[in-house]
Amino acid sequence: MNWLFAFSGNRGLSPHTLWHHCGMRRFFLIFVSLQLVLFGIELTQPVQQHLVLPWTTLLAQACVAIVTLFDTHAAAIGKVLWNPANGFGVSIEPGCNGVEACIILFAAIIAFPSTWKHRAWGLGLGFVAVQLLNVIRVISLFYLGQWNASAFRIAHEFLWQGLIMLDVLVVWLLWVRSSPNASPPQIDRGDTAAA
Amino acid sequence: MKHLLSWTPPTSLWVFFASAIVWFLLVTPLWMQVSKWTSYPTATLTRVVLQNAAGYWVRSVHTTSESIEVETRIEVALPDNVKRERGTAELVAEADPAHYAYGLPLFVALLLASRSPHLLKRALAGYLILLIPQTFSLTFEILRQITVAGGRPGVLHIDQWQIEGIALGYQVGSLLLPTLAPVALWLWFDRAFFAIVVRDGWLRRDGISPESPPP
Repeated sequence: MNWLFAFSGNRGLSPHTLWHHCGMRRFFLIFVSLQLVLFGIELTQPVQQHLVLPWTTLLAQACVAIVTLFDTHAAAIGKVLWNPANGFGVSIEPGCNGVEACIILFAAIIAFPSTWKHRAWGLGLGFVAVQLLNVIRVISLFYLGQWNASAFRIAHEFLWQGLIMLDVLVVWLLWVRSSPNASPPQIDRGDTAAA
Repeated sequence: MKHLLSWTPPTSLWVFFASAIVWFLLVTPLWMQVSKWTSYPTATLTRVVLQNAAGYWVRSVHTTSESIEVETRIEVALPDNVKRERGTAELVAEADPAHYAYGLPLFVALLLASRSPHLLKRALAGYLILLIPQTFSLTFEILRQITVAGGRPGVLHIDQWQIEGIALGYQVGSLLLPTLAPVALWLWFDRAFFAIVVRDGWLRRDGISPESPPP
């Protein structure tokens, strides 16, 4: 028998109650506020100039370093990853450098109740997880663009946006599940009726 | 409670993650076939918003199944090679209503991956709710085009802070909302799934098997 039945059935706590136990309403408020603040900070000129642009350039160089392991036709100029042989290049623009995805993840991690040590782990590992997938995104788009413009457009505008967000979601869920100071609420036999 | 008892959630987060990717990759091409129709209400809502909120700029709005075209009262200078008598033209802003609507297949994929109960009802409700952030994104895309082409605040008859606000709205509408809105909505609709995932982790951490019978 699935454990859900055991805990939400005749002896358990309903998922709805657990949702409230986690303080999800409070979470959403803090999450949205943090998100807007972090996003606003990211858009400021000094942050763009001294943090986002250098990071994007580094990302392009990292992509080139990986691509040149199996393909010599790749180079980076600033935030552009390009193929000197055919002149095709992809410019890593806002939304494609993983910064916004990290902002969403960071806001979600900070907003959820946990210890700061656990949050720090989540921020560090989450950043790595998002950026690793983003490197795959950039490299895949680099090759898709050289192969087929339509496939590039679909992958760039629709597919990869959703896949990066799924990555953020799962990293966050894994992090929430490993929260050290959270504890399952006491099982209340009367809870089922209220659910 | 009845639906929860008949609901079998994915066995692990990894199964959920893999399912979500597969469903997303399957649903997105299907959505692309119908996106011009599913996004038509977004164009209609955007027309209503623009005509009411930016009536000074907007002369008329034309919506089709594939585009929204906004004729404005903003005069822009023509390049020398196309200048005729006056040397100016009125700006026309254009956008694809489906461009920011790819959150719908993501939302449906999440519902399918979490084996959400009341799938059709939730998918329909989600579709209707997601029209709101999509309208936000499309509206600010049009406003961005107007402000970028219109140039100085004096020409546009707005203050600098309003231009900054449009820039921020556009960034939020293009970079955050299209993917965040469907995930947040799914999390709200399927909060039982979230609660189960969290509780599963907590129980395992405390050395209690979620599968084990109650004490």
